[in-house]
Amino acid sequence: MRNEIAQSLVCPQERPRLIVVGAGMAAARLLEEMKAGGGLEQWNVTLIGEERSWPYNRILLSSIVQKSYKPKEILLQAPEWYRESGVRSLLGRRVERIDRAMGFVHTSDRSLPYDKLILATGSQPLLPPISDLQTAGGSLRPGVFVFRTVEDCRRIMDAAGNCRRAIVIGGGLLGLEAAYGLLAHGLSVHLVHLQGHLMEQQLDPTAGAVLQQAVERKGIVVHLRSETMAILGEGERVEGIRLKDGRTLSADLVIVAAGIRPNVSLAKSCGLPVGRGVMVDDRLSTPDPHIHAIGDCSEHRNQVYGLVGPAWEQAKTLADLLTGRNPEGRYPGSKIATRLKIAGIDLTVLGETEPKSLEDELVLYSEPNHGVYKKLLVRENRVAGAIILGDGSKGAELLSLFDLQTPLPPARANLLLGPLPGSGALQATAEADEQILCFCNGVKRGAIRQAVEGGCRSLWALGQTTRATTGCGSCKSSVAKLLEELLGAAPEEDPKAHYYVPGVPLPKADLVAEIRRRGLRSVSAVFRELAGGREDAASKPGLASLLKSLWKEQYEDERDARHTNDRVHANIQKDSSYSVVPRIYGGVVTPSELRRIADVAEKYKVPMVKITGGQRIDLLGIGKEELPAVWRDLGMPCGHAYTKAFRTCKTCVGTEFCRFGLGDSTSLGVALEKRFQGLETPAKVKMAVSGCPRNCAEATTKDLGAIAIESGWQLYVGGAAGSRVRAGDLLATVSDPEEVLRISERFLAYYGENARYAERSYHFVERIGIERLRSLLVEDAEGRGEELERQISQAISAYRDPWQEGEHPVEPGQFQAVKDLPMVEGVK
Amino acid sequence: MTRSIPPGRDAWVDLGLIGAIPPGQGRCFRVAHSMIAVFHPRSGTLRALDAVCPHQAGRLCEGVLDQEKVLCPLHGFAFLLQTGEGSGHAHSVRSYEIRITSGRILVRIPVSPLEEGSLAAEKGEQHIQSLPATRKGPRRKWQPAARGKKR
Repeated sequence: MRNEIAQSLVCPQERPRLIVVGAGMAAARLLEEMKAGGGLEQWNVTLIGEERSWPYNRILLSSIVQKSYKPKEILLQAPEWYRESGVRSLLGRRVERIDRAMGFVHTSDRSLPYDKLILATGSQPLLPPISDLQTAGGSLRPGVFVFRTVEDCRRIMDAAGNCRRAIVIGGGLLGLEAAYGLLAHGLSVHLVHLQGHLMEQQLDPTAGAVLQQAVERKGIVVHLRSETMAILGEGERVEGIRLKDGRTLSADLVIVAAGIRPNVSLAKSCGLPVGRGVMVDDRLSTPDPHIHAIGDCSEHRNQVYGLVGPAWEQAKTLADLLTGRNPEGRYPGSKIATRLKIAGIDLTVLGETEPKSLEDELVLYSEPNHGVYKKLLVRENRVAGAIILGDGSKGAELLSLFDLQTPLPPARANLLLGPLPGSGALQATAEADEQILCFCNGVKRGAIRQAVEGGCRSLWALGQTTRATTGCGSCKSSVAKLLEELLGAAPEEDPKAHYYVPGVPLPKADLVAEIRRRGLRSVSAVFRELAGGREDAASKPGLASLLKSLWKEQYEDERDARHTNDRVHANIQKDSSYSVVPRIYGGVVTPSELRRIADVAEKYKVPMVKITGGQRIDLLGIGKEELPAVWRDLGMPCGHAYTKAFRTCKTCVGTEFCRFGLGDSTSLGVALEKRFQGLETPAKVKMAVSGCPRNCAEATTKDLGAIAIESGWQLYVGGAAGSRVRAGDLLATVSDPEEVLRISERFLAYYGENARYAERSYHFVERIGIERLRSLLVEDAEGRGEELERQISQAISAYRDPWQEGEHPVEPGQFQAVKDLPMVEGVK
Repeated sequence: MTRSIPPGRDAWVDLGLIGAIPPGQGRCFRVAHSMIAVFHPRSGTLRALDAVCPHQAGRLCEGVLDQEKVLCPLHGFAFLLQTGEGSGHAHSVRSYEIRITSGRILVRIPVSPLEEGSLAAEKGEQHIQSLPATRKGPRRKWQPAARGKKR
């Protein structure tokens, strides 16, 4: 019997076609938002991008030049994410024309029909009228660069090695960050700015002057009110620039960072209204209801932002509309916050910074010689805008007051200086600081705030500093949300978040490909070949798990790569004793087994005997040395209650005794457990089988759960009732218990193949999507079913009961806790 | 020949053959008043640290290690093998000088007169008590409050 949901799946051709033109940050965020909230799968999505790279975090380009990131590390999503999300990607392709009448976009080599078209074409560097900036062919002359793409970064960095003096044209945010980046390459850097002060779009003249001092202290020479007239140099070589006042500055590298302009030519040529950007309404729609525009290329209520924050808010609203999650979603415009990313210079600019009426209050404080300037604009007792230079913590504090539009305390000076005693806003902050976010490590909100003020910009860095999220990980989303709130922008992308393990810089798919290609069968071989010989303790267990699943019997086991639990096949406890859980298939136990367990408990004076949540018996407080003897006396197989593997299958009594039973849940549970015992998986896998929909075995909150119904069995995946509670998704409804086994095998194989290390099924199922799993595993849409089953069969035939090592230890001291030595002097 | 160590001296203690510690792992030795973990990284030299994690008394000798650090098996706190310094947290453990002579591991144990005195007092006992206190101490066993028989 096929289940109802599977039949209702529409085939891909019938889904409406969504084409996203531009593969930058706005586009990526749109797809992420559509996927995260569910609904991406309603569309047949094609992403077309002119750059060859997958979407990356453009904000971090300056960090690449500053050498704190590598290009690969700033991708917004790993390449496989797009494939797994069903997004077709055409990168390195330029859309040449939009045919609105027919609903087609045309690239140089193909024509694609659309039902919805999203323009996220971004912006490009503005090139001022400077003579000899470009070659006759129209490209930039050698030695002159713009700073917009990862390719630009590469070119700049390649050139910087052979250069000594650089000039940056443009003293805005980007120009300053580029100039600072070049300092990191050991160049002497001059910055030439047309206006009377730096960052004039964000700063007033006083703030600009204070910033200039701070920048000059870093070693950048600033030339204000200087218009560049010409690039100097013979032939290929750049020798300098000539300014309008006749001065010349010598340089062998020039970066033009004089602003950006939206890429609107595509929209313009198909007749859409264009001002500075592509004009959109609050639904981010152009007058053509089939075409939307977001990000740098769009103009909303006369605003062209050119910042990532607004682009992301636009992406969110548009995702809500496209997925139908919130058909009433509207984009009201964004509150602007800007931060300058130069180490040692803290600059935050929020909202408006000049008063508009007499009612607007201006609060000012400045210490120019110490690089401090603070300006606050208060309107209707709320922060309307601010410039905070030289005080990172105030910047963050005001950002949150600005963001939440919190009513302000009457003592205005306190808003800029020191803490805010007794004020409503501050009390709220102080109380909020006490809130515990990471319960495993007892990390309070205040500690996270301090870490962010101290420079943490990513979740990973925050984990390293405060230990937040490093326990069970269930607080990750709330900590990430707070981090984003405190930063006023999305946290910096953790490059390591895409790696399978932190110590080998490759996402899972690439890592697997390299391991296969080079035939790496041991953990130390992986470090040697793929991590420059540098071992990383935290990465070892993950690699061991991956290698074992890839090579099965050919895997070269190195015991040092395992956690102690997997070296001694028991679960370490707080006092360094171990817990022993024998296998009891389906939770069905015999009197003689119970008797043996009781005998062992008495003989070894086991401090606690406990019935577990998975219907097992746990002997707690056993010394490492005692393990082999305890196992021998138990005479039962290992229950694997200590490792990332299939754990237990909980059952109810089903048709054997229960008067409501519809299916033989104990037999199926025992069969499942016999089949999968010892199967290693990316994270632990718990199962349950219930004999009727009353579901006494709680199968809907297990990684894999089967429930008997009148006509057969329902199979659920991705359920949990631990640190997170999630009802499983119905994967299939089948008539035959054999089918439950078969589809479970396919699921476990696919999970083993595609999950990240330690990724529980409930995350995995959400990430892949139940529809995709159903088509792949139940409907066998890609014909991989048998191959997946074969993988499991191989893993199962490689299984040995690890407790056999009690009789035959595999290495010296495997079951020895401490070696006692007399306190004597052996050698002088 | 062996003999007792006089007070106020350091001692090089023979912990046995290097082959007893598999590459990439650690083993724990109790030498009178010290629990010492000896680590045998896959590359680089052997290292010796106090075996007990100051966070919640996990045994570092059972942790996963690399060339630079060992991770406590209980909560993953990292310690540098060379110095015993904590990495990413404020705890640290003592490190010991170590050398290999004819395939045997020798660790230098400092014995101050004071410790020698206390050693005599506690002779033969396990010295878990002298280990650094855990941060929070063990949770006391909860018992229901006594309900008075007022009626």
